[in-house]
Amino acid sequence: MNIGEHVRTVYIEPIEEPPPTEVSAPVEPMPDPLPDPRRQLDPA
Amino acid sequence: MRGFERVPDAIEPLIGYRAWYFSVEHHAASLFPISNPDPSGWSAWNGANDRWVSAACTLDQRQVPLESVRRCLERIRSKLGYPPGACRSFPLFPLSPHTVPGERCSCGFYAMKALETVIEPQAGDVILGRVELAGKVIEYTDGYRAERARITQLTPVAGTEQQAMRLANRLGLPMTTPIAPWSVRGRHIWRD
Repeated sequence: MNIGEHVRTVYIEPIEEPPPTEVSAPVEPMPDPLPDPRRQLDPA
Repeated sequence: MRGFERVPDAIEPLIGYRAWYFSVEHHAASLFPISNPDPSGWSAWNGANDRWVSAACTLDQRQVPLESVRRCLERIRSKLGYPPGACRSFPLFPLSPHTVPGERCSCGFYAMKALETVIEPQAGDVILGRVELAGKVIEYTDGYRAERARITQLTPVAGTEQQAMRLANRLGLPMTTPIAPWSVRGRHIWRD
């Protein structure tokens, strides 16, 4: 390949892109399957 | 820093354009340099579609000739009027190990500064493309020789779009609109 006459020499240090990060899916609130312990302790 | 110990001149890669021979099979696609393709099928451009790849110099790996042979060749060169030492264009003796691209060598990734100035390879399936260049880069009036490169875009020659699309899909690279063949733009012969 004919690229012509020498002009200059440079050093390029490109910024490396960070690796892609996984986007976590939003967590849906789940109903607590256990009864509230305070209600069990409180006398009626 | 990789071999070339100096403060970087820039952090933005230089942009260049070049051509490759290519092959597309069921599960693989490869790009091969136009000049001096490796007979084994290996290509220095393998992987450059998704990461930086580094060029290597094979000229400084040649076997050192015997001292007696070296002296004999020096005498012949001297009688022919050549100055002592290696000729710049045709190094008679192996080059010392050097950072790629070497100033007195022809190694490195080549690219032109403009897509339109990429000259026509003589045969085969050819595709053009845009590359980013980094590391040690020697700039010339019309192009570059670089230590590191990666491919960012492919440009098919008009009439080869179908194969080029398969290639681009395999390599995961974007493809631009086709460029007119050299026969339409003015024919040049690949000089290398």
